[in-house]
Amino acid sequence: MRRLVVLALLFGAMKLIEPLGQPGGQPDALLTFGFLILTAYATGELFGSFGLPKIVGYLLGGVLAGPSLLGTVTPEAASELEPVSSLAIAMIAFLAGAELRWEEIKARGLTLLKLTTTEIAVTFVFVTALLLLGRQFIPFLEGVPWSHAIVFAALFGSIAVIHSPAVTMALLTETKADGPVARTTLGIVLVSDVVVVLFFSGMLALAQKMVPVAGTPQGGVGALVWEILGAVPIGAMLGFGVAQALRVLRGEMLLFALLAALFGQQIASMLHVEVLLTLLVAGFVAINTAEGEAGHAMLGAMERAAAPIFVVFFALAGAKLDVAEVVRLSPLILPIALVRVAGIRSGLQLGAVVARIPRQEVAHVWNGLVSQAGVAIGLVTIAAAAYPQAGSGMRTMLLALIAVNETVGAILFRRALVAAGEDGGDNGKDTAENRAVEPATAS
Amino acid sequence: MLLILLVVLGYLAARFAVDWLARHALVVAGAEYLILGLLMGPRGTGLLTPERLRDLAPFFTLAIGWMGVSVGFRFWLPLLTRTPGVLYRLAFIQSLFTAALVGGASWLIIWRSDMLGPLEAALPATLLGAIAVASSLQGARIAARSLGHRNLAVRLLEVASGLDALIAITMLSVALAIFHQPVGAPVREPTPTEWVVIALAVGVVGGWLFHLFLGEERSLDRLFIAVAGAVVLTTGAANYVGMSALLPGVLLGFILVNTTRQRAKVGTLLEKVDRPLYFVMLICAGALWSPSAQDVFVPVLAFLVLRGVGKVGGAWLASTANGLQPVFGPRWGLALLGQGGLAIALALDYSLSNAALRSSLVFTAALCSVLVTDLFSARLARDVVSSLPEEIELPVHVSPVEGGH
Repeated sequence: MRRLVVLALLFGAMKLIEPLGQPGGQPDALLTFGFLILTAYATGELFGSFGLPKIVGYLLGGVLAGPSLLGTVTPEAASELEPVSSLAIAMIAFLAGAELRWEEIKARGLTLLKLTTTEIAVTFVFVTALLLLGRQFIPFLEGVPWSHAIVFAALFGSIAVIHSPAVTMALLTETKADGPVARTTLGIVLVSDVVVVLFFSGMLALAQKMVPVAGTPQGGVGALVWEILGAVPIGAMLGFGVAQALRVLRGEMLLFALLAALFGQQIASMLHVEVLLTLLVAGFVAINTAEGEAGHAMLGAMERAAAPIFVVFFALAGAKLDVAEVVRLSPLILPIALVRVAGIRSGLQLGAVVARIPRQEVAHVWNGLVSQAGVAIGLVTIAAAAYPQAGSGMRTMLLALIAVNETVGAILFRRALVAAGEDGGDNGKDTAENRAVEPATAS
Repeated sequence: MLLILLVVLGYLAARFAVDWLARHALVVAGAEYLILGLLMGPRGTGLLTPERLRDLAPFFTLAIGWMGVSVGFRFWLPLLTRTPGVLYRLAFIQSLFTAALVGGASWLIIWRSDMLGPLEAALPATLLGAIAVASSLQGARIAARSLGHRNLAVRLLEVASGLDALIAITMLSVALAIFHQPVGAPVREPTPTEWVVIALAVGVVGGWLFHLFLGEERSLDRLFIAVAGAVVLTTGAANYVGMSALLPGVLLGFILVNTTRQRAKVGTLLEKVDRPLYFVMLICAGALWSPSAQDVFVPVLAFLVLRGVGKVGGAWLASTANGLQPVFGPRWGLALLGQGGLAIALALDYSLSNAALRSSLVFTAALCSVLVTDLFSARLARDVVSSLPEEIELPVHVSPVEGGH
């Protein structure tokens, strides 16, 4: 009840201050940012008290504040906060890469690759087949020639198979989970990030051969391949640079981590390589090549900064959600979402057979692969740019699908971590950080 | 790519130079971040274009607001009430003298050199006065560390630095309220007094929200989000209404330190973020700095000299007027010459405001003063404090019944 009162008071305070701004001006980005943090935080806590993942609360907090409902966060204000969102994505990617250990890759890399490729292949076939079977009900497939329908359905399928490193990292940070389900899920999500982007690039290249395009996005398929493959050496160089800088740096780890993420994001956009992949590789290389405890100190600093970053990232994602559109498309989206989940489950089971590991090992993992977020949205934008007419319909449907998966996926992953006994509790009462501060409070 | 390499090399060179200076000459500067900002800014490699700087403006404003909260957090009432009242008198006289001297002289220089009319000149002159008043707490900290304990002189420096900050921030806020641009409010334009009250109300609401959100919360993550949320909202609201984010920030910090049961934890959080944000502010200041020859020369030089005279003369006057020259010596004002982050925050906040006049001059004065005074301020503070006896007794006529230092 207190949270609801707080939300109402926050909203009232925003309304009260509105007439005092510059005439005709939009609410200041920072004011919107603060309102969004507190609103999302309050709804996150509200959801947490019901045993639901807080990130779902953050998302819905964003929806509540966004143009669809209260309208306190206008589309203009949301776009002004884009740099914050980009920085959040960069930090999440760096953090996700930094979580991977070289020893783990050596020991389980091949298994993870087999699991990932099988799961992706099966999910792709399931989703694409469903779209083709029900093409008369799908707006962007209705009435187009079969060859075009196959291309568009395959493009849709290649985006639908992607997972969300952001949701996975947010949940793992929230629950402090570090067991087999958590590690396997994180491994698959990170490997799939690379595999899916390559797969999508290949699929787009094939599509452009089969269906003439109105305009090739950003220099054609070559550019797209560079965007993906170029990210690996650029990210590796950046990571190596960070590791070297860590040898001489003393203190100011939080600032250094923020600057590294910002710098990496700027370099990646300047060189037209995939930001997420660049930062992911950079995080992996930096932590695995850093000497002594410096890498862990930086990782610790980034993890400390992660909590508010997740609040902002998901709240902004929620604010951008077009609720009316999701509701309108739900009769089409729900069957696709269900088939996608079935594809993920079957793909993992088959993957376990291919990788020759017991099926029980992946029994809970599918729950962590349902969510979708930032990367999927990026690929949707590329597809929509390549095919402006069909792409627009595809974009609307995929965004609605991503919205459903982002919300449901987080709930499922949290449920799986609890079922596997890996949920370390979200109060953070026993973290090293909190223990370190206790004596100061006592004194 | 070459540009990026140049920036990285420039930053690393500056960093090593400053590290070396810090180790060998007791220099407490963030000059490497200013240089990094200069290298990245439109006047350097252009990596930070004016558009990108505009995109990053919320971060800079946040850094300013955060600094205000850190200043407010220094005013913990139980400690303030245990401090002998005469220390406030000394600090207050020193602050007012510096503000009046630098502000008045700057007004004359700006007006008489035809930069602005007499009325308009009052705004940048007030700002220069405010910046001159601001002094760094770093001097007191270094002095305490070198002494090995905290004597009354260290407490005097802490009080003076806190009061300097409060007076400087109040001067900026009042100046911005007087010169506030019309907003076309539905009923009538708020008066300057009402603008100041609005700024104060924003701070109070920020503090109140923090409590509503947290209550008895002990988790560090949640505290961080609530503190960050309250600071961001307060800063954003102040910025939105065209007022300085520093004054509401001070009030928010004051409420936090005096009402929360998690004082130590919140203090740790503020401290952890304080320095990174200070460096972000320095980078921004470096990138935004575009001095003209007219700004750099006479007025800035005059500012530096006047500030030195104001601080040392003000401290001497305060000691003499209170009969405390034998206790604190004639030159304790030298320990307050260090400027630190608040001066940059004041200048940056002013430059970002719509009302700003001759912001380049104010900005250049602040940056030059920070760069110059950081070179020797720590050494001066240490020398001043170590020249005084370990146990300082106040004369009977000013001694409190109970001294708690």
